[in-house]
Amino acid sequence: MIELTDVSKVFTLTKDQRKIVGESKLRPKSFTAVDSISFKCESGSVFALIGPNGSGKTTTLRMIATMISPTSGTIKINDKDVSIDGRLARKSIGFMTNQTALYDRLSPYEMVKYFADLNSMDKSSFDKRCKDIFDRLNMNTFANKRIGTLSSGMKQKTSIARTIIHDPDIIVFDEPTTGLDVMTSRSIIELIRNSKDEKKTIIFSSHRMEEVQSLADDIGVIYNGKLIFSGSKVEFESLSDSNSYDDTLINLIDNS
Amino acid sequence: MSIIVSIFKKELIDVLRDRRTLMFMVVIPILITPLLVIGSIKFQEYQNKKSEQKILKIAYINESEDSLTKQLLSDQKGVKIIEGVPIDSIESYIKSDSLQGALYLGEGFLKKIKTNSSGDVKIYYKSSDLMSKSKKRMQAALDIYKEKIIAERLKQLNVDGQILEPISITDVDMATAKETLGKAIGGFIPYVLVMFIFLGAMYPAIDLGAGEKERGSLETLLSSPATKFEITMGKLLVVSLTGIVSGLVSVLGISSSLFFIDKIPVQIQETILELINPFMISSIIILMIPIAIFFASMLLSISFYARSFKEAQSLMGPLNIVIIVPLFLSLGPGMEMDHATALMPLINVGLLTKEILAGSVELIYFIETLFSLLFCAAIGIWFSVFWFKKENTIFRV
Repeated sequence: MIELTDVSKVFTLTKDQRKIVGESKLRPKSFTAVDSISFKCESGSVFALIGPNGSGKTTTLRMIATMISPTSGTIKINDKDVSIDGRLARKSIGFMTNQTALYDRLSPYEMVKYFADLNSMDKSSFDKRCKDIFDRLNMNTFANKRIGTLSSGMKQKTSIARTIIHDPDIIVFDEPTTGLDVMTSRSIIELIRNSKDEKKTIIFSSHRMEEVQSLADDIGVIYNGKLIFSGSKVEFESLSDSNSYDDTLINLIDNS
Repeated sequence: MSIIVSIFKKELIDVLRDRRTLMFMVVIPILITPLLVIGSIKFQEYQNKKSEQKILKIAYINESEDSLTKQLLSDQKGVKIIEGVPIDSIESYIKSDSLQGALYLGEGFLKKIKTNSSGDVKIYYKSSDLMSKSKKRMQAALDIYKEKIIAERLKQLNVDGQILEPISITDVDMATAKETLGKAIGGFIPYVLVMFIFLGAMYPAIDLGAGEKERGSLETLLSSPATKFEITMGKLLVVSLTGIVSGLVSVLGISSSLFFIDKIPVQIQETILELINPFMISSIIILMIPIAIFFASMLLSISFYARSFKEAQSLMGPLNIVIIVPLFLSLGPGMEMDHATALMPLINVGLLTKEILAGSVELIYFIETLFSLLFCAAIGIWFSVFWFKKENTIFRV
């Protein structure tokens, strides 16, 4: 379970960034990327975080994954405050973006083993889990080839295996299908569905409303750092007469 | 600790499979340093030979009745005397290299010599022409002339020539061949060593910092249970190791190249073998470790800051100068190892390496140098960890 309470993130702007953001005399020294947001993602459910570019989705997901710290507020993972023990929180998290984020000179096996080692998995648990994942994703034929030589589909499978090797309770996806072809996107959507069946907590950000419609149980809409909607899929659909999620999102933003 | 080891192992495998890193770490130092040494020695030999063999055209303008100077000048090897050149054309001929020099004896030169006063001679040459030895050859002819005249004058006065040599000096050089050679090549070795530690560490540092950012894998790594301290340390160890290997390979390259130079006498080769002893090797390695850690921490910090591979490369470029300047200073005249210079980073490396190679290193200076380098390495580690922990560095936009 993930729980955010009054979470804010304020970035200090550099001199150059201030020039871009503000007027000449009123240049702000900081920028509030996330402004006092609160929501909860329950185990076994899928939470979709949506909103336009630059609204604060990635910052929120990075705070959940403890890559960056909130300026104020509390984030709890499985009822434990991540600011107290970040390492423990990260042990229960699998993080994935649309970039495969792999090392070309390693093999899929070495890549997955590396993340298992970082998660302090013992050898027998790793061997069992690795065999299971590689069989399930049909990765055995290319397990020992260099990643740089693999097709994009094979790379995506490797990225999935890397994300779930330590069997995390929580999986965070930051725009996982952006820029990917249909076949590769499908493997990620399947991962989200399978993870939900395994009663994991899933949070993902996306611009693809058809994905949100088919996968999400709960939806959060973030705009200019503020959470302007948080509720179930049914509640989100009831906000507008239109069947289109795009229209509902645009209406929400226009009325905020 | 086990996470640092895991990161170290993974990064090492990754780096060793990278052709560009291997190129910078092993191939370039092992090929470039011998080429540099052999090439510069051969080039110097060639230039010297060419300059010795070059026939110099020297204008001889004599407005007196003296004939001895012309004869002495023509006795000089590689001199062709040109007569009849007007004095006011000398400058333009020398500038255009039609002439390499000119010797001018003014009116009344011989008369002054005969009346026991000083005859005026002007020698014209271009000091910027390094290949030309015209001044040296004209000077040599005039020196012989001078000696002859002095001898004649003393004879006339019935004075023994010994009167002009009140002191008889005998050189007794107490330096061993090892010391002389050590001090001579000792200036060159730290320069190559430090540069190759830097170059060997540079490419892996870019790849493990800015490269990871570009690939997006840094974000994934940060979401793993590894702390920022562990990630920095794992990467730092690999970058330091590549720097050390590169430095060692370059020294090996220099040492081996000395045996391929055919004109090095056996005695010098034996001295070189004497220089390469376990004490020298272990001392150099001990010095290399903190230098490599310091460079690795600085390079990694820049790499973490850079948005891309290309930006990291351009940010690291000026660092070369920062490294070269202190090493250059250590070669300067009057730069000696003392308690102050032993604490100046890189200057101390230059000075201490000379002492190590000459076999005259004092333990206190070695300890002081090591302390100063370890201090820099510790500051470097602290800074790179601090820098990596800054969100503005890692997620810089």
